[in-house]
Amino acid sequence: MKASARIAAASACLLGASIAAAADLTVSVRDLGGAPIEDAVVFVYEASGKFAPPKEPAVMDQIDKTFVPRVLAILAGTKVRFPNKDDIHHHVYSFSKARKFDLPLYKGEPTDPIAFETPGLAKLGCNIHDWMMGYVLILENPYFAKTAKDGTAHLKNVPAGTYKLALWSDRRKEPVEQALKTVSIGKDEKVSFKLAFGPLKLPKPPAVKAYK
Amino acid sequence: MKTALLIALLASAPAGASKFDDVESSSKIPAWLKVSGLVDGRAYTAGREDSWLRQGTGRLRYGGSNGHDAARLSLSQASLVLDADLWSKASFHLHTNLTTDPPADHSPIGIFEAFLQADRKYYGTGVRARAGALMPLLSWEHPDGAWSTRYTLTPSAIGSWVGEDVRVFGVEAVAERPIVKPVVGRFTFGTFIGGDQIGRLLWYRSWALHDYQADIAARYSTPNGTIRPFSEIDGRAGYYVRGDVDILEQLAQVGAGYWTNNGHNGQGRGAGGPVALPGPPVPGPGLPGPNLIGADAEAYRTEVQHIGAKAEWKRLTVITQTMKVTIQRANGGPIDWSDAFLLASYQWKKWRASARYDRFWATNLDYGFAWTLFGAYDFDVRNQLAAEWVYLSARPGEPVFPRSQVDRLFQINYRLRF
Repeated sequence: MKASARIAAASACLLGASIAAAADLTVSVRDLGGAPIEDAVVFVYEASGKFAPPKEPAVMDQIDKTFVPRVLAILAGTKVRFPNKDDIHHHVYSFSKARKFDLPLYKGEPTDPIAFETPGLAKLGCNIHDWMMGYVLILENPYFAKTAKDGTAHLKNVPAGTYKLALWSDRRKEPVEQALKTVSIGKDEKVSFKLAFGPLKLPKPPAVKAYK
Repeated sequence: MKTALLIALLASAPAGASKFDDVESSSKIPAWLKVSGLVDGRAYTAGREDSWLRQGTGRLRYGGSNGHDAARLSLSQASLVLDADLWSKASFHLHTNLTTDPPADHSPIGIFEAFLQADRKYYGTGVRARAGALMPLLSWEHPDGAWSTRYTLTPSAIGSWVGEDVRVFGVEAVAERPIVKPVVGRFTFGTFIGGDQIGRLLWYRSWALHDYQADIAARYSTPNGTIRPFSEIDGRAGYYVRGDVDILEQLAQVGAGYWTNNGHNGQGRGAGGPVALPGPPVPGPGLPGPNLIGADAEAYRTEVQHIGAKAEWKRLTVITQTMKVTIQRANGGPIDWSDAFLLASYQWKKWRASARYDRFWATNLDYGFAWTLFGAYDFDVRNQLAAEWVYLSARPGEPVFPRSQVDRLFQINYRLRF
């Protein structure tokens, strides 16, 4: 076999190995009564490697005086746009340790997106509409997903290996470290969390507009 | 001290908390309780006349001392506001204030508002009911928490008077629904007891500009007697109505209303029937004289008519309001106190600049104007550094009160919200 053919064969083997080494994981999140939990974020708690954030910014809209999505999960270093699609002003802010910022009264799109560099949680509010509440969860690796209405999240292309899988939800008060689950990517295809969750508190605008 | 404790409580999180935790949710404050408030610390320099709040003749919050200018520090307001969810659509609201500059002989701490509130929607109509010690909807300048001003430190003469002299003990209902898109209509009705001496402070001092917020046990000691604006004397309930129209929510709002304590003039001294009040009235510190209208235990019929409008266009906010306060006398006919102001405020990023012109007058008693210039920098939504200059000129009506008066105040304020 010629050297070039050997190299090609070896490359094909390596490629095949790397494809086989990454797998998807389906995670089901339910409360103790079996009800599905939406807007929970499941993520690999620790993963080695350096991960470049996406070039395209993520988006946290304000639509009808509500943050959309209510929960946004991003990789550390990702920039986030905060377009205001209402006809009125918003004043978006965060006082969280992970990212403090405020965007004074604006309509439309603020000039620059906000970069979220530090892993953690940024809780969002609006200084004009007290009830508005949103979350940006900033994660250290790209292996995360948010649960849909059926309580299911799909993690894609997680490298083979054994990891601790974490879950975050604004309906849980306990630190995420209290509910870590060990998973073996390549072996496990489905994992489920069954935990205690607090009541869902969706933003509640007042029935009568305050005189503001 | 209380505030420091509160902030510590808010910031506290369970040991071993994760960086992914919502620190506020995991603090020791239960989810059904919302704690908020503000602290205003102030440095000021003021003109020679001491403030009416300390039985001086000045019409501003702060004044000089013994005929000399003064420069001092003040904790002008520290507010703690609790909102407790009682059940899904009802809550309890409590607002307490602390200041180092209360009126003479009055407590530095007190309750500003305390009421139960319920709100819900019925077939597209939003309804809100409140019951307790309320601030009726009269001022256009206090949109923020703890009934605080947004556009200036010192509200207009109207907002100042509302803060010092108006509170009701009763029930209020507000109904709001879209009329034609994008127009929303809102109607307010309230009835109350207390307030039988509301307006007497105007008679004593005429209009003033300050940001002192009276508590529900308000009492103003004057050289000529004690004014208790919220006392109930004649046993007659007052009421108020107000109608508002909003266009595109924040683009333009117009509102007008009527308020009366329905007081029975002069009643309450024991023997039945109204008594003749002395006249002509002779106001107090700003306009020194030997008499104060009526007596401490008498009711006065006070009526308030007001109309206002607010428009927001891009970064500019414009507010205007006019108010007429009429106090009926048992003899001599009614006296009107009127004020009108125009305020423009411009916000650019973290900066805000505002200017307001007040013009006020009272039938044959008082005539004056005030300018207020304000600038502020918001470090964030909780921390603000502001500076304000207030100039007030009043010329009491001749020939009874030939003395004109000028009050000046420059103040720098640091406001912390939590």
